[in-house]
Amino acid sequence: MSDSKLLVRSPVVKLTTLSPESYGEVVRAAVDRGLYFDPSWHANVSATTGYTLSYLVASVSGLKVCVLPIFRRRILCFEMLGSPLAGSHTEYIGPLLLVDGLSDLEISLIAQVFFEYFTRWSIIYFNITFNNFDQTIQYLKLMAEFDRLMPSMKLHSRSGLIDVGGGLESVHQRFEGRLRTDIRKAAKSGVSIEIYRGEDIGKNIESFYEVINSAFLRRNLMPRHPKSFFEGISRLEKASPKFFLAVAEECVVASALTIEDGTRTIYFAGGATPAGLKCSASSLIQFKAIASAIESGALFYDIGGFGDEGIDKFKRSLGSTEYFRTSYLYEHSVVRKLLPTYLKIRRLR
Amino acid sequence: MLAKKIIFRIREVFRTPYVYDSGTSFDADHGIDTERINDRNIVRRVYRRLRGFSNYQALPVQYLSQIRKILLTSELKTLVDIGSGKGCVLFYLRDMFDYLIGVEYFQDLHELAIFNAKVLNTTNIEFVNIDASCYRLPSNPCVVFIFNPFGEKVMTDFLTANLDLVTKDYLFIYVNPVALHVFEEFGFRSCATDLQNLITLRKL
Repeated sequence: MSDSKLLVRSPVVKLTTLSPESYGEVVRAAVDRGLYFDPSWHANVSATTGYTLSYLVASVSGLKVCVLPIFRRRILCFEMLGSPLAGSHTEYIGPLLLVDGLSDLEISLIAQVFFEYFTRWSIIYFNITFNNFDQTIQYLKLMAEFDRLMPSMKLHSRSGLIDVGGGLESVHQRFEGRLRTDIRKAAKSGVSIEIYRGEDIGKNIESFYEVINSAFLRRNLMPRHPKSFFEGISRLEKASPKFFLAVAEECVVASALTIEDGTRTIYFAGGATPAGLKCSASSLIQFKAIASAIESGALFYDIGGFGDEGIDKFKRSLGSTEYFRTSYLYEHSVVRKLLPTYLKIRRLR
Repeated sequence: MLAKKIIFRIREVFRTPYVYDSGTSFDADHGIDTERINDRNIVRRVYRRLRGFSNYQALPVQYLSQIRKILLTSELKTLVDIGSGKGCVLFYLRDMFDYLIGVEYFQDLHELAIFNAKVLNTTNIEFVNIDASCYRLPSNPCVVFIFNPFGEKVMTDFLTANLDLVTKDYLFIYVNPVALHVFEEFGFRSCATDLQNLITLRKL
């Protein structure tokens, strides 16, 4: 894709594409906004999911003011935009404002050009999630503009956040009694937790993925991401990945993967086998993951999205508080009907 | 019946994700097309693309409501919108003035504005398809509204062409003032400036 393909023309704001090289320069110049804006993260997602990576940039009087990394998939003359990771408790954090001091009018016009692009006839699906952790006034204003333009497409997805700044003792006290019992029970049953970092992750990825596979199959589902995706994450230094394997009687019974994004450690993926569930290995693994996050200096532990009643109950028992992520989702009616079947066929293959 | 079903299905495939909800959008409330940058009509859009047009962006309605507040104290009865585009400003403020004039250079936008005026059944708006640098303002004092329509040269030509007419009663509302220095060179003074919203008011 050329460095600056014009997408929307207006007298005030122009929306163009940006090459990955230019994106690297632009983001380096901006304040470091964390993992989800890192080119290495985008490259991993793009390489393992088959979506094309693209960067949209809005410019005012020739100055780049807002960039939006986006993944796209083309089907005939139609296009689908958004994160291929959406729906798997993985956030994708929407536009990044590159300069401070934008006027209200400029923010409003920037939102308008993005909106103009998303609502093209050829775009049959888009899913843009905003970063609710960015509380700068101009970012909130940008969100408010999207609210005004796409009120009917707005979605709130819930996630759980544990404040771990007070130390492990304080986190442990906030656990529900049942969970504390489960942790003790797991330790008594002889479950031990192994933590892998760096190169060691690659050697144990097979066992990690097997547990995930087993957890999904139990619910008649396929794992959200291919194994190569986790292999890619294991090589991402920026994400500081940690793999946790719960071992009982020389068998891996539960696993978890955490990544770091600034002061937040995110529980990215994990699961337990039926044997692991019996001995409450998931509770112990979460406890160890939180302890490890605190050791690394994290202030928050993000337990991931809510949505499954049973898992939500467990996540709440960790003393997490709910927060919302704002998304804008549009699915063409045809996509809504055919996409699940298409994905099922693709996975079965 | 079957034909109707087929047509419905085809239209469903090509339906754009529409968008502006009634109650939040001026367009949706009035059934007109002024807020979108691109034309909703695909044939017109292709034609404009081929002609190199479609250089349009409307001022968001929330800013028009601020301008409405500013104008509440004004006694002027005529509004001239330089670079009126699809006519959004004129339609929104049509009840505040006896007479409104929209000046637009691009013929396609001018025609769209006329079409929108027909839909709204307005009688007090006149649209003029002319280059702003040649346009002569009305001789009676009026409000001149400008939203970043052109650069320094055309702005200079426009003010030069009208300087003999403009008195201290004329009020210029300049939104996103990229060529504000031109006003200063012509001796205009600032009445008010809202930097956050990039709205400036200028008078001789």
